Amino acid sequence: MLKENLVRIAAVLGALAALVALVTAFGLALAPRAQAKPEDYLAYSLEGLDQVPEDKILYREAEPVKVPAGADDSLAGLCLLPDGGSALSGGSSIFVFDRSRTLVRTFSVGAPAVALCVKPGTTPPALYVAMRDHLEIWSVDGRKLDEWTSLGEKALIASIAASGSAVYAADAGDKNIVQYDTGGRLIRFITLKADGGDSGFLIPGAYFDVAFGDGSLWAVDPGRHRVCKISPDGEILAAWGRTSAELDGFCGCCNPVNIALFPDGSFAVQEKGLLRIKLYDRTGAFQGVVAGPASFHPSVKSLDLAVGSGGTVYAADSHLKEVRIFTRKGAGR
Amino acid sequence: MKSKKPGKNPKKKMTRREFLRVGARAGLALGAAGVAGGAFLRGRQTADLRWQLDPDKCIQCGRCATHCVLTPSAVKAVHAYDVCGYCELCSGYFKPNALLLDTAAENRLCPVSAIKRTFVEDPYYQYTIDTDLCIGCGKCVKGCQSFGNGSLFLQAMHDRCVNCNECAIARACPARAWTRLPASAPYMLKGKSRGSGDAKK
Repeated sequence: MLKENLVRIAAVLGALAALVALVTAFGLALAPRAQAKPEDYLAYSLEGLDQVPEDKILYREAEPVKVPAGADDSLAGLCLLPDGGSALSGGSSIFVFDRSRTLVRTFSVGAPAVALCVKPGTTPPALYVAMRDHLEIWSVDGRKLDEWTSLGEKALIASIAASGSAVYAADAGDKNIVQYDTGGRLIRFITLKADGGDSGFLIPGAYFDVAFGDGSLWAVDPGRHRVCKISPDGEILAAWGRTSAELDGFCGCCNPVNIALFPDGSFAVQEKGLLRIKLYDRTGAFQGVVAGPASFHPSVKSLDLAVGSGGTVYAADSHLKEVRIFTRKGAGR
Repeated sequence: MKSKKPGKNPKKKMTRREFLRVGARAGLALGAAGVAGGAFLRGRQTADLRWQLDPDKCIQCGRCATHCVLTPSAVKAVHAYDVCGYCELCSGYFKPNALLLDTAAENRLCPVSAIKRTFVEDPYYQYTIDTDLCIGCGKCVKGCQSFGNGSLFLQAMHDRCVNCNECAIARACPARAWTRLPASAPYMLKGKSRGSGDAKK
C-alpha cells in the first residue's frame, strides 16, 4: 500500500515537473527578446542642448535655390552680387544666379574654389575666387582676369573679404590673414598680437572666416570662441563671444565657423556641432536664432553665409546642394 | 560469312550494375574532393583576411563596446595626431556642457577615463588613448566628429581581435561599416596614414 502511494506521489511530482519545464520552455521561446542596445552611459548625448525654444527662432525658411553641383562638390563660397543676383562656388564650378534666383551661368575655374567675394566697384561684377593657396579674379561671365601668387604649400585659404582698397584672405593653414591691395600686391600678414596671453589666431581646424563690414575687418577666433574686430596691424579693437553650450554661447573646440555682417553692423553667425545660425547685434549681444539644428543634416559642418536686404540670410548647404534662404518673421515677402 | 570467334571481341560490355557502381564511386569521389577543396579555400580566405571598421561609415552607435565576443571589446579609439587641433576644449574629452575644463570625472566624456590629457604649451593639450582601459564605446569619437576635426576614430585592434569567422559586431552594426581587409594591411586609418593600413606607420 505504502509502495503504491509513493509511486503515485512520484508520478504526480514527475508530471508537475514536466509541466513546469514545458511552460518554462514555451515562455522562453515566446518571450520577446530584448533588443540589445548600448547602455545609456555609453551613448553620446547633447542633453537637450540641440533644442531651440520656438520663441527664440526669429526667422522662417523660404523656398531654397537648387544648385546643380556634383554629388561630392562642397558649396564653399557664397556671395551676393550688386545687381541682386548671387554667385556660388561648388567644387571647381561657379554658379551665377540672377535676382529672380534663376541660374544664368555656370563656368569652371579649373580647381576647387574654396571662397568667393565680389570685387567692389566693378561693372559687370568681377569675383575674387580663392583656391587653396592663391586668389584669382574672374568676371561673372566666366573670363579669368588675373591670378595672384601662391602663399605656399602650407596655405589653406578658408575665406576672403574685400574693401574698396584691400583684399583679405584668411589662411587657416598659416593661421593668419593675408592683406593684398587690389592689384594683388601682398601688403602684410595680419595675426593677433599678444594681449593678455593671446598669441595669434587659435585655429584648430580648417574653418577661419573673415568679413569686411561697417568699415572694419572682422574675423572669427574659433579656438577662443569669439569674433574679433582687428586693426590692420593685428590689434584687437573689439571682441565678443563666450564659451558655453547655451544658446547664446559658442561650444566645442572651435566655433563660430562662419560670420556675415548686416549693413547695420549686426552679425549672422554659424556654429558647427550644434549646427545653428544665430543673430548678434553690433555689440555682440545675442538676439535670437535664424535656424536651429533641426533645420540641417547632422553631417553638415560649414554653411557659408551671406546677408541681403531686409535681413534675409542665405546659407550654402552642401548636403542638400541648395542655397537655403531665411527671412525674418513678420517681414514682407 | 563472317564467323564470331571467341576472344576476338576485346570490348566487354559493362553491365548496368557495374555502370551504376562506377558512377556512384566517381560521384562520391568528386563530391568529397569538392567539399575538401571548398573547405580548404574558405579556410585560406578567412585566414588571410581581418575584420575592420571603416571610420568613414562608422556612426558611433556604441555597439562595438557591447557586441564584441571579448570583454572589453577588441575595438579601441585611435588618435590621428596630425588631424588633431590639440584644443584646450577638446570635444572628444569633455562633455558638451562641461562646467570646467579640468580632469574631474563629471566634466569628462569617456566613461572609463581612457583618455589622458597632457599640457603641451599654452593653449594646447595632447590627448592620448589608454587602449587597456578603452572599451570602444565611441563617445569620444562622436564628440570629436561633431564639434572637432574628427581625429579620433575606432578600429579593431588585431593584437586582441580573435578574428571570428562571423564578427559579432559586424552582424550588429547598423551602418554596415565593417569590412574584411587583407591581413597584411588590416587597418583603415585617418590623417597622413590614410590608406596605408599598416598601424606601424
